Amino acid sequence: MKDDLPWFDPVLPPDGLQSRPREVDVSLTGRCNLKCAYCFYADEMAGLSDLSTERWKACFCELGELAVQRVTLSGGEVFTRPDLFELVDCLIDNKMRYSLLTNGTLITEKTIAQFETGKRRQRLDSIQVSIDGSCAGVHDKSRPPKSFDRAVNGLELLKKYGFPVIVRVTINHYNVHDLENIARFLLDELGLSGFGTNEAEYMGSARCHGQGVVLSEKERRRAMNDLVVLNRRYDGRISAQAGPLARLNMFKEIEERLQKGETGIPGRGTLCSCGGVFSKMAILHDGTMVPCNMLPTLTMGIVGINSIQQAWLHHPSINVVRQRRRIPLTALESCRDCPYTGFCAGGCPAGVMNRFGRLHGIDPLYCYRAFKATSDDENEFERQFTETL
Amino acid sequence: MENESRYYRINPVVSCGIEKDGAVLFNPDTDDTSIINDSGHLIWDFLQHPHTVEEICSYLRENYENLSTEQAYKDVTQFVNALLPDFLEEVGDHEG
Repeated sequence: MKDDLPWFDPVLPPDGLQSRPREVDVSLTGRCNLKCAYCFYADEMAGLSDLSTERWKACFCELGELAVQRVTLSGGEVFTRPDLFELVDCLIDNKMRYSLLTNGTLITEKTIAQFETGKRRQRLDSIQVSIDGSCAGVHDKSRPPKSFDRAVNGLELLKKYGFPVIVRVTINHYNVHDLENIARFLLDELGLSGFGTNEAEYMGSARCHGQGVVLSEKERRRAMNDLVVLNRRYDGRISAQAGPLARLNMFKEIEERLQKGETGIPGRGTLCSCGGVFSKMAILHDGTMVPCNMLPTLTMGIVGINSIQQAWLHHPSINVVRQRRRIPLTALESCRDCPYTGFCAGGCPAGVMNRFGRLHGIDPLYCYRAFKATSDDENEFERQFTETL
Repeated sequence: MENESRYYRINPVVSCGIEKDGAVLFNPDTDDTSIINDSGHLIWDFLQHPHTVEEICSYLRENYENLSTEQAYKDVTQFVNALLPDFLEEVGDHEG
């Protein structure tokens, strides 16, 4: 029996959608001074060229006319762009706030000083620095040599000058055994209030390395166990939007509700995990608009050539992601007989797209039934997971 | 009456995102948001240039036939007070 999918018009925006995105993720450049083993953006960096200063400025003016509120600037590595602060000033002139995602290695006293001009500090929401180990011996396994020392130096400078800094740890094969040390380093030694976690996705550079950097299911479960212990020890200062801890939190919630005799969670039971596309979109470094920078093949047009607002409202590439939430899990052949569909939201659409080349499906990493069935046998989960590819 | 001789205009740093039934105001300096309805949006556009409360009331009454002077004054005063100081600013006579 095949999937039984509802039909909808992909040009029509869903009822109640805001007339413009509230936030936009901008990959400002495809250049980077590092070459990390799990870079999800590596394919785009290799294949696409940066927009010029003038075209970015025109784009930010268009976002300003739409009253977009916030922009997150990433790359590549944002600090490789010599015009970064000129572009930040353009965002400020167009009434927006901004955040930066960075590897931290290019942050110096001179960089810090540049933030003191105008409203650059005032409009800055956060700077996220990536740290993947408690020491160079671990961090530099997934990143080039000497990147740990430079990243920590950048992080310490930001902290010293009172910047709103956050740290993201991407859990991968090389650092999964180091989580306790990472927590001690970041929270005790550096004194951060917390840090976020996710895991290396099987995209970009990670594909080139095969399964070398991506976590195995056994490693994921180790990470889940370690993170729950650490989070208890550190009073909830470790967070996750995705990855082992997010997965664990989700499964824990399901188990607690099952114990209470509940059969579902209100609002679930369909492919509704992604709410981002109702308030946010992304622009790649060559100006291509996409629903999310994790969905780079779902192109919506090019800034400066196509209207951002029209793309936001009417492009099928973003509306198909929005309309996923109209697909009940019971319409999918793989989920039809699952007793847990009422609790499930299907997982990240990028995870589904990445693994299966389509959007109507679930990310098996977020399947509670599969997790429960294979709890005692990680190899069985690995086998089932591989069979679904 | 209070505010009668004072002039108000929109805070130039604030963005206004138009939606179906009004607009969303966003002050990026303070990171504050305010939602206004259709009549609020009408006033907002009027305040691209400085006006007194009395002038705003007159403008509203031109656009809403059955609006009494008393109700207009009450609504406008409430509107102005709610949006000061993050979204509206008080300016000198005929400034800007």
